[in-house]
Formats: sequence, C-alpha cells, structure tokens
Amino acid sequence: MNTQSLASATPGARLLEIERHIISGVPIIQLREIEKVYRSGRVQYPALRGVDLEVAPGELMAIVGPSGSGKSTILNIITGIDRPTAGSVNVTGRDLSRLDEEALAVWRGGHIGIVFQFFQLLPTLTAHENVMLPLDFARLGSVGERSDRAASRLAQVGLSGHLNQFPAELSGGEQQRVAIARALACDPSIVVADEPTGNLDTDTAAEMFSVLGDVNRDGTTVVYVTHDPALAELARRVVSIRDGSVTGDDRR
Amino acid sequence: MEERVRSDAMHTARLAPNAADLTPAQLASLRSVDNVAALDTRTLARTEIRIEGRTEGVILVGVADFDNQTVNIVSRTSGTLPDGPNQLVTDSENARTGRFGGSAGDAVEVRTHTGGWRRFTISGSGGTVRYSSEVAQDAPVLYMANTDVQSVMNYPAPNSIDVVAANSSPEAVREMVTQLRSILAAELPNLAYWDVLEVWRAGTWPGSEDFGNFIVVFYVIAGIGLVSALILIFTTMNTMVREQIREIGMMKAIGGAPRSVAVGFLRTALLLGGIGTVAGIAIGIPLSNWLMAFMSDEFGGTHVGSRLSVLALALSIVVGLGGTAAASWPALRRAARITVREAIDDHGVVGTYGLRPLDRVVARIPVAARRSQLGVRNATRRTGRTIATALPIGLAVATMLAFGSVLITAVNEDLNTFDLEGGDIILWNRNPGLDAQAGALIESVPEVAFAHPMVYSSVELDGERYVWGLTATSTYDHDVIAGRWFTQEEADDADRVVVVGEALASKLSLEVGDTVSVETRRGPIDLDIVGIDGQLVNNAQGMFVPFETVLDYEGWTTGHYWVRTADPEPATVTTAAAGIQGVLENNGYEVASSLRYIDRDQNMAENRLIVTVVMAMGLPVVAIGMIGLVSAMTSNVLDRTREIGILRSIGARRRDLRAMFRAEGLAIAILGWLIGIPVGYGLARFILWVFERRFDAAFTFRFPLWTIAISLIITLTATLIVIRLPLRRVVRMSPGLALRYE
Ligand SMILES: Nc1ncnc2c1ncn2[C@@H]1O[C@H](COP(=O)(O)OP(=O)(O)OP(=O)(O)O)[C@@H](O)[C@H]1O
Ligand SMILES: [Mg+2]
Repeated sequence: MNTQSLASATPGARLLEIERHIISGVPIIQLREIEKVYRSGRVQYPALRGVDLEVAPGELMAIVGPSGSGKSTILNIITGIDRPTAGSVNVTGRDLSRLDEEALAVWRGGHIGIVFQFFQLLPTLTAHENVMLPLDFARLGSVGERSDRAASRLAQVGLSGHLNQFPAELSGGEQQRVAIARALACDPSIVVADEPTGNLDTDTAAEMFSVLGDVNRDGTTVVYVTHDPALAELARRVVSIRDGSVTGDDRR
Repeated sequence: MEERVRSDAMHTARLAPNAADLTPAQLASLRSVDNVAALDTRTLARTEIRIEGRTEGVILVGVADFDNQTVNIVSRTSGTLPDGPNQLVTDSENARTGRFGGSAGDAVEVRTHTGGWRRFTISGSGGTVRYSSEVAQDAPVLYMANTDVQSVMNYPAPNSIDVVAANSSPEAVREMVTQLRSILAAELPNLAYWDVLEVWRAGTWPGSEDFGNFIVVFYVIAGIGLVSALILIFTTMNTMVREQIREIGMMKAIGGAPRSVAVGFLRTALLLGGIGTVAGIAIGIPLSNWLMAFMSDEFGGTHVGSRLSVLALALSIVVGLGGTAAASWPALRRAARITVREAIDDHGVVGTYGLRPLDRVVARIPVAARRSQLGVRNATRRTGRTIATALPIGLAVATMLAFGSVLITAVNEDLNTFDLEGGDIILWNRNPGLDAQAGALIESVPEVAFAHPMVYSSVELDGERYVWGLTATSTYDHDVIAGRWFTQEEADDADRVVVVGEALASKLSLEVGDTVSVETRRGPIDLDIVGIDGQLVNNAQGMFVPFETVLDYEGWTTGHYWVRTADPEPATVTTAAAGIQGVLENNGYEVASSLRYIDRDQNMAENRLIVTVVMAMGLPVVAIGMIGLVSAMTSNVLDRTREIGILRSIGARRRDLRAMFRAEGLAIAILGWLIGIPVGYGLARFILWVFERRFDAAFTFRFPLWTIAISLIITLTATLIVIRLPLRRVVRMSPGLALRYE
C-alpha cells in the first residue's frame, strides 16, 4: 500500500524537481529568523539567535564555526530532527512545522540523506543490509530491487567487496563510506553531513570528500559541517557561525 | 489444622463395640486407665433422610452430652446446639458440599428402625474434625443426642468409644487399648466389635495425607517463584551497575575504594529487598489465610483460620534480605572490579557484533521483514541479559506446563475412577435385602441400563480398610496386570480368592500365588491372591473378592446394587432413582440410594478449586517472568536510544520501531518458552513422582502436546501485552534528544 514505485524517485524525476526549484528561483532550504533555546531545568541556553539561511538546489555548502556555536543545531533543524523555538523552516518545498514526527520520519526517508559524525551504522546489520534499511523503511520497490540498489550504492562508494561484513569488521573509513551509501540509498534531494570526517585521518577524509563531491556533481544539494579549514575550502559556499548567529557567508 | 485437631479433641483411638451399655462407674474405671486423657461413648448409625422427595443415606453421630463434650467436640458455627430431644446439628460441610442444604429451623425426616419417619428440627450447624470429614467422602453427617440415635435405630446402647490418649506413641496407644479391652471384657462378657479399631497417629487427621501432597506442590511453586525472583534481582542489579559504569569509574578516579562502591550498591539492593519483603509479607498474610481456609475445607472437611507463624515470618525476612544480597553478589563484585579505564571507554552498546560465531548463525535465520530481523539479532546482542530474562520466562512456562500436565493426569484418573466403579446410582441393602427379584425390579425401570449386585465391606490389612465384593459379571472394568481375574466357578463356590490393587501389592510386596490374612469383623481369614489390578480404584489399594465370598464370610445373604442408567445426565439419574425407589417400595423393599453424580460433581468442584489455587500460586511466577521481560526490554531500549534516533533519521516510522522491539521481545519470550518445555516436563514428572510415593499409586503420566501449543500462545500474548510499556518509551523519544543521548 505504501510501496512507492522506484520510478517516481529516479534521478531523472528528481532532476526535474531540482530544475523546477532553479527555474522558479525557490531555494531548496529556507530558514527564516530561526531561534533555538535549549532548556534544561531552570537554565535556558539560546543556541541559535535569529538565523536566516537560504540554500539553492545543487549547492555544495560548508558550515564552519567554533565548538558550541550551533552548527549541529542548524543541521538538525534542516532535517527536522530538532524543531526551532521560533522562525520558519521550509525544506524541499515543505513547511516542516506542519509535519508531525511521523510525517517527518517519512519525509526524511524520501528526501534527506544524513551522514553522522560517528558513522552510526546499525551494528547488527551487514554493510549491505545497512544500506537497504532506508529503502525498507520507505518501502521502495521489491526486495530484489532494494538489494540491487543498495549494492550499486555500495559500488558507488567503492565497497562492492564488503557487502556481507558487519560494521565491526570494517575500518573507520569503510564504515563512513557505508554511511554515505546509506544516506544516498533513497536518492535524497539533500545530503546533510555533520563532521563526516571528524573521526578519520587526513587521507581518508579527502577520499570521503571526493565521494561527496561526486554526489553533488550529480545534482544533489550537500550541506556539511566541518572544523577543518582545508575541507571547508572544498565547498563553493562557506557559512560561518558564531554564538548562534551567521557571521559570514562566502560564495566562490 | 493440628490446632483444630487439638481444640476438637479428635480421638486417638476408637473402639467399636456393638453395644456398650456402661454405668457411670464403669465409665469412670475406663477413664482412669493409664494414658487416657479423655473418653466419651457415642452412638453412630447409618440411616436415611428425605431430601427433595428422595431418600438418601445419612450418618448419625450421637453425642453423650452436648453441654459436656470431651472427645470429638462438636462446635457450633451457627444456630444453637440441641437442648432437648428431636433436635439435631447439621454438619457445615453438608451444605458446602451440596449433599444436604438444610439450615437452622428446618425440619428433617429421619428414617427409623421400623421404616417410618421421625421429624427432627435443625437447631444449628457445626461439626468436628473426625466426623465432618465423612461428608466429602461419604454422606451427610447429622449430630444429635446419643439417646435420639438409639431410639431412632432401636440400638440398646452406644456403639463407639472415642478415646484421646495423653501419649499418642503407637506402643502407648496399643497398651491403653489392651487395658480398655480387658476392662470391657470383664464388665461386659458378651461384647463384640462391629468395626475394627481406628487409630490416628500424632500429626495425622482425616485428609492429612492429601494435605501433605498439596503442600509439596506448594513448596515446588514457591521454590520456582523464589528462583525467578532471585534471577530478577540478579539482572536488575547487573543492569544498575552497567548503567552507572561511568559514575563508578569517576568515583574510583577521585579515590573511591572498590569496597565502598560495592557497599553502596549492596545498600541499594538491601533497600529494594527490604521493600520487597515488606510488600511480600503484606500480601502473604491474607493469601496464606485464604489458602489455609481453602485447604482445610478441601482436605480436612472443616474450616479453620490460620495464625501468623513467627517462624514463617522470620524465614521470609531472612530469605527476602539474604536472597537479595546473594543474588546481587555478582553485580557487586563487578562494580568493585570496574577499572577507570573500562568506565571511560564504555559506550553502552556492544560494538563488536558480527565477530562471534553466534552472530553468523543468527544472521542466517530467515526472517522476512527487515525490522523483525533487526529485532531477532538485537535479542542476541546482550547474551547474558537475554538468557537471564528468558530463564524466568522459562520457569513460568515450565510451571504452567507442569501443572497442566499434573492436573490433566489427576483429573483423568479421577474421571476414570468414577467410570470404573461403573454405577450412576448405588442402592443400599436394607431390610429385606436386595435379592435377585429386587435386581429384576430395578432393571424394569425404563431409565436403567443394567444393575449388578455389589458389596462393600471393611477388613483390615496393614491399615487399609476396604474390600469390594463383585460378581464375576460385574461392570467393573478391571485391568489385570499380573495373574488373572477370579472365575465364575470360584465365585459360585465362594472361594477365598482376591485380586489386589497394584499399589497395595507393591506396598506389601504381594505377589500372585501369595496368601494374605485379613482381619474381618468376624475374625481373620486367608485369601489367595490370584491377580493384581492396575486400576486406580481406592488409589490402587483396593481388594476385589467375589461377591459370594464376601457374603459368605460376613454372614450376609444379600448385597447392594450398582445401577447404570441409560445416560449419566443428572436429570436421567434422578428420574431413575425415583423410579427404582417407587417400584421397590411397592414390592415391600426398603431402599436408600446414593447418586454418584453428586460425588462426581463434588470431585470436579474440588478439582476446579485446586486448579484455581494452583493458578493463583503460579501467577506470581508468571508475573516475575513478565516483570523481568519488561525491565530487560526497558534496559535494551535505553541502551539503544542513539540507535533509535538514527533509525528515525533514516525514515523509520513508529510502527517500524514497534515491530522491531516487538520482534526482539518475542524472540526472548520464545527462547524462554523453549527452555520451559523440558523444564516443565521434568517438573511434571517430579510432582507426579512425589504424588505417587505419597499416594502409593501409579498414575498414567500425561504431557499433551496441545498444552505446549497453548503455553506458546499464552507466552506470546502476555509478551505482547507487557511489552507495550517499553514500546511506548521507544516511540515517544524525540529523534533530536535520542541522538544526543549518551
Ligand atoms: N539538548 C541540549 N540541551 C541543552 N543544551 C544543548 C543541547 N544540545 C546542544 N546544546 C547547546 O547548544 C549549543 C550549540 O550546540 P551545537 O551542538 O549545535 O554546537 P556545535 O556548533 O555543533 O558544536 P561542536 O562543534 O562541538 O559539535 C552548545 O552550547 C550546546 O551546549
Ligand atoms: Mg556539532
């Protein structure tokens, strides 16, 4: 019943969607006057103090800033994982405040790919099963189709030989590549990565970025957070955050 | 119950003279015999009363003086004790068992020796341990003055001497009885005895054996409950230490000694154990009161309240606190041994999945849906926790299965016993006796299928007191396991042959070809054993002798009749009994009948009650299993908070998460169920073994497959219900918080 045909989520269909955004000039991510206040007990901590941010479809954008400045919070608001205290969030043409948790989960499954800092693969699933998981949740195509799609995503990140290994049997770089393959599984319009290379050595990190770059070249919007100035340089747009406000927005 | 035996002054020994017409001086000389603490004479009789237009057998128990009773004291539960002639007390058990529902103020027609009826008034209800027990076993019991019993029955004098011995050791009692008999022989030269001597050892009472059997079962359930509870404490403490691993590390980093860390946890454990003990005692006292009342009704035929035993109280406190300390020991040791390094490295979730051979095996389990697959694999991540959770579930399943099996076995034997005895109605021999012509009259009643003569006599062989005299063509469905049944010729010749029950044979090492000497009321006779019977009549301790043989040695000419009706429905049986009564009375026979379905219903009702009690006892075991499951699943959920956040981030819906954790819970429950099957089988065998030894009986063990299937359904259903709690926790987690959870 919920099984969506793979055809409707093919790259071609998505390109059309992206072009519609470009043609209409509508940003794919639009944050307006976002405020986020964390409350723990009586203490209130304002993590974001009025952030305005627009990202056009197909952009490759880095967010930089000191620790605790609110970078992860911005990403979590874009993905609907956190809700802002004030302001409006519009992503892929949806007003996220109108979606409940359940609808958000479904929406994320179809439109957003997330790469976490510590890989965060499911330890009880093999690499192949991990990549299939978002397709299972979205109930996209038949089991056979999902399996093929997951295998091709793993091939895309250069891991065709490790399909049946459990995360514990993979190196950190391999795990992160599986995480990227998983983020790409459902052909998301946006890939969001929070310090995707934070746990990797420099060479592996560079490799990882070339994969993200490839993804972006295929038309996917990529937003990532990094501490590393060299990795920030790879993006065409760098947004700087300090104390919960945007302090710089450089485009090249 | 022993309290009740004392307060009722239940007799230690009962002599059964045919007529003991004793003067006060003679009574005084009997009472002065060494070791006699109390002695009363009474008149016992069997006659009939009218119940709803039908005649039913009844036991009359005479009381010498209601105001001054010293042995088998009849106490009053409602109304008053008789204060004049033609009044009686109905035993409280009469109404409870449904044998006779009369109450204070009602009139009762009692059959007299002339065949007429005398009207008595019920003054109240009450009873005494020894005679109340006859109600469930046999017939309604009515208490009245000795003089009333004698005038109803035309008995010249009391026929029972009930004695309480000060010292109840077998030697002392034997010595006392010898002295009493010699005094009686000197005073009343013509005295004969109508029944054998009845002796109750200290600590026994009517039903005490059944009571003992039931107690064993209680111990077994209580033991299982205790083991489950200890496992639960063990897991809880382990979880607690695990969850605080970082704190423990920090404490040690800033100089906390391993000892003080362990002592801190011990204090927590003892606090929990103390709360549990107090709660347990609070629930236990009313529960034990209820159980005592129930069990004394069922097995003692009397109702007693229980008193709080200081010993039991002390024991429960020791077990509650000591058991808690012992069960938390492994966790305390672990807490003491955790190193700072270990604590800092801890990330809550095992990150090494896939490296153990078990993981590879589990990965091959074919599960269709991904979320169920995740659930099943997750169940194997914390092997220790999973096993510790599955074990109490297994014990709960085992308890269910074992009791199922024992009850099915017992109920089956019970039903068999009733069917074996082959009668829906028993017609008791009266005056004139039920001869062959009476048999023909009985069979002329339309509802009657057939009728067979039968006689029931009392002999003594190593404490067992019953003999069935059966015709060679009787409906008794014997199951000869050695030797043979007696033949028509032996029956015709009234040969002294016997077929003994299996349990009696094994108890006394009797074999086919042996000769046994049994004590009848007319002296000892020898019987040749020709066969051994495997049926469970009289707990397989019966003796079967040809009908004609019993008549011969008892000096009787006629026996009773077993009547089988066309169908066993109460309506048919009642109609048949009324029909038989009518046709026999029209032809000048006196008659009294017992309807077997009343006994059958009585037995079934007892079984149903036993089932209820067993369920009530087994429930805590099941509850502990389920609490363990909830707590383990809650720990699992907390452990995997981050993973839940990840799953939500990549599109998992609430129902996906629910399905995943449900699969995990079911996997653990199924593991428990698998453990429970062999354990339950062993437990059932053990309980039956205990029963067999205590009953001296052989049961046909039953462990039907369908009970295993039902236990699976129950386990899964219970799991699905209790797992809702942790599941609610899962779906309520906001993904943002879940991801930050550490
Ligand atoms: N759940 C929470 N409760 C209270 N405060 C929070 C919570 N989550 C984040 N914060 C605070 O909000 C601020 C912004 O946090 P955020 O995680 O967005 O920072 P960041 O820029 O990603 O830092 P880092 O580079 O260290 O990851 C921080 O000061 C943090 O302490
Ligand atoms: Mg961050």
